[in-house]
Amino acid sequence: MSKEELLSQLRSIELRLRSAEVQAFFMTQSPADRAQLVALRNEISQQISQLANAQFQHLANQLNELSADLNTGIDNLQSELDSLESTIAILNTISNVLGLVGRVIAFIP
Amino acid sequence: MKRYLSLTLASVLFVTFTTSCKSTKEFATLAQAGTSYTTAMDRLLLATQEVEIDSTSERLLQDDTASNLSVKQYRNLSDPNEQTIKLIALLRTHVKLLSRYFGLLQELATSNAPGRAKTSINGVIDNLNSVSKEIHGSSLVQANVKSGAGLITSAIISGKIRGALKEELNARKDTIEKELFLQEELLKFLSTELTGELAVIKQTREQRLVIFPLTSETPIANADGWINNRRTILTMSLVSQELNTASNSVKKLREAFGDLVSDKLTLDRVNSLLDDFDSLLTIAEKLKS
Repeated sequence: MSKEELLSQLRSIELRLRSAEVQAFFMTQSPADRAQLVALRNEISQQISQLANAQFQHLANQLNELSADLNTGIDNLQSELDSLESTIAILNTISNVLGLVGRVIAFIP
Repeated sequence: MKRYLSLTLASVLFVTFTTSCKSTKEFATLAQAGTSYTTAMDRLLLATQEVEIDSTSERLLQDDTASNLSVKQYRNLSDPNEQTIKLIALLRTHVKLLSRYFGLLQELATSNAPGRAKTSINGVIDNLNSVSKEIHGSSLVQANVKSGAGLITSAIISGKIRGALKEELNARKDTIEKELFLQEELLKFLSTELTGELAVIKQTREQRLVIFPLTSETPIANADGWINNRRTILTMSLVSQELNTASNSVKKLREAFGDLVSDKLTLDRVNSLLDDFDSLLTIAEKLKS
């Protein structure tokens, strides 16, 4: 049985133990029986949470392994954007220098 | 002959320009779909955190009605919640990283650099002509050449952007494929997890807020509140059904990235993905309310 199947089975059992019918039945039983039901439900609910967290952890670990390469991609894209900005900045500087040259030449007799 | 060459040059420029625009648009739309997905996933993770905490609270309240609980029994259920909160925080950090990646892809694909480069080159030519007029008494660059230079510069920058996007996606092809495969697994898991936890909430909350007030000897004091509670509880399972349907959308995103790298992607497919992720976002919002 896989972890997923076990989790699914435990969930079905828990739902049955927490149904209105089971709850109503145990409310008519002795305090000791009610305490036993609560202990059993507590145990099953705890197992469900732990199994679910194990799956969460597994996925989080696998995803985190990819973080380094995603960061490389982010740096790469950022430097492409910076390079575009610097190309335009260079063109604007050339334009400004030429504008200045034009004005200086206009003053030369 | 000169006219023929001009027409050919104009056609080549037009084709280069429009082709690069089309492809860049596909990159931009797919990156937008990726960003929408990460927004929806972030909300879904937050909603999962709330559902997990609430389902534990409902379990504890139900058990408390049957027998007095010990601190150990409380901790048995509450401690895993704290671990879930930490794991969700870790997953949200990773999703934010993915969101930043898609955001930069979109920023590069929708960059207005080609237009600004065209304006800049026109400025260079205008100033060159001013200098030339001062020295030779005539313009160095003719008006038609100036507009051609503007178009060429714009096309070169568009081509540079398109090339950079293709290069980046080719370099990150395997990582993106693996990332989206794992996101698909995560969404499937969240869908199963939320369906299970919502079933617990539905069942225990129905007992606490609907059945118990109805079966107790005293009449229901707030009838409208009871009706609202009952409606909210009975429609909870609809949200988890919608989530199951939406979990297929990441598979489509993964396939779309594969098609983009191999030039087979169509905009219609990406647009349908945007709708899917909007639905996912709506589901996440419903879960939080």
